[in-house]
Amino acid sequence: MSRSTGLSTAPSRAGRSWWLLGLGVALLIAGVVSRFASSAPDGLERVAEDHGIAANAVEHHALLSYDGSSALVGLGIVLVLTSALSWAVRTRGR
Amino acid sequence: MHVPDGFISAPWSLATGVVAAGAVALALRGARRELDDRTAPLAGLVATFVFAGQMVNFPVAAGTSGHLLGGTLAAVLVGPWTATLCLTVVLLVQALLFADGGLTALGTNITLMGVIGVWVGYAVFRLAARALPRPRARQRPVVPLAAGIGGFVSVPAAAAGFALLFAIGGSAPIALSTLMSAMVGVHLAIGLGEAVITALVVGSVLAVRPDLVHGARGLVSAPVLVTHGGTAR
Repeated sequence: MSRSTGLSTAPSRAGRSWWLLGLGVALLIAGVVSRFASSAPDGLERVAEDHGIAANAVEHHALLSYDGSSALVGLGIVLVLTSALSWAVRTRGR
Repeated sequence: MHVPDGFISAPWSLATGVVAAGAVALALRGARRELDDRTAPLAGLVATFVFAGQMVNFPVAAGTSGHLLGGTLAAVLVGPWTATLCLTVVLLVQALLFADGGLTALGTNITLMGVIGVWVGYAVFRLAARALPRPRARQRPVVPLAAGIGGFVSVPAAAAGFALLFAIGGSAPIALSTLMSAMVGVHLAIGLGEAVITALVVGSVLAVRPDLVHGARGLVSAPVLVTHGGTAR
């Protein structure tokens, strides 16, 4: 497998296809698979309920919900923030 | 496993906040050694996948569910320092925008999932990768298998971290042994789900781009990539 990177830091075509595939899988999980997620309390919530801790929880107002398209907004924000961060700290030119 | 506000006292929330801030500062330096032009794009993808994966709760017992923590998965794919950064971004977005995990509990959640989950999982992965039998012709399955074992252990480890923290700074007087056995017990079951997802995803990435998998360096021979600058591994 040969690819030319030259001076550009953009992924080559071979480099892009796996990336788009991965993004597609993440979108599928967030948009479709998540609809079949269990709504039962998770491990910590279950233990908190069983041991009388749950009532101590102080909930704050959610700006976005995991249902529908706002979950994809969250997904996009995570992608942009982490990509920018990893691009900024990376060792250049390797 | 997102801890809400009100579970851990203010001083101990501050303490975990200091731990988390220190870990992120170290991770910003450590991630430099893990990320380069080739691997940086994978980091964004890994954080996105962890965020998506954490949305999918799977049932583990009657009336109880669990979800991917993703710390071990991220550590094996992009390295533990970068994994701590990935989990931090995920937990930050969840706390600020989705009210998933408290705001004062952000340091606690980063400590449990982004530090304990990542580093215990990665340490177990490295030990397992070394200990597992490795026939010369079939080296590849060792990496996803070891990643699954690391993922499995990371979940009760993070749960145990919560039990310890609650014992010293919790908002209700519960015996450590009671909370510890309850937390570790249910999270052993959730850890099985973590193991399966971690092994499957690591195996899938290895099948497509083995050269990008941090945890496979030195274990799986990578295809040689030829660039203008010479031969890169």
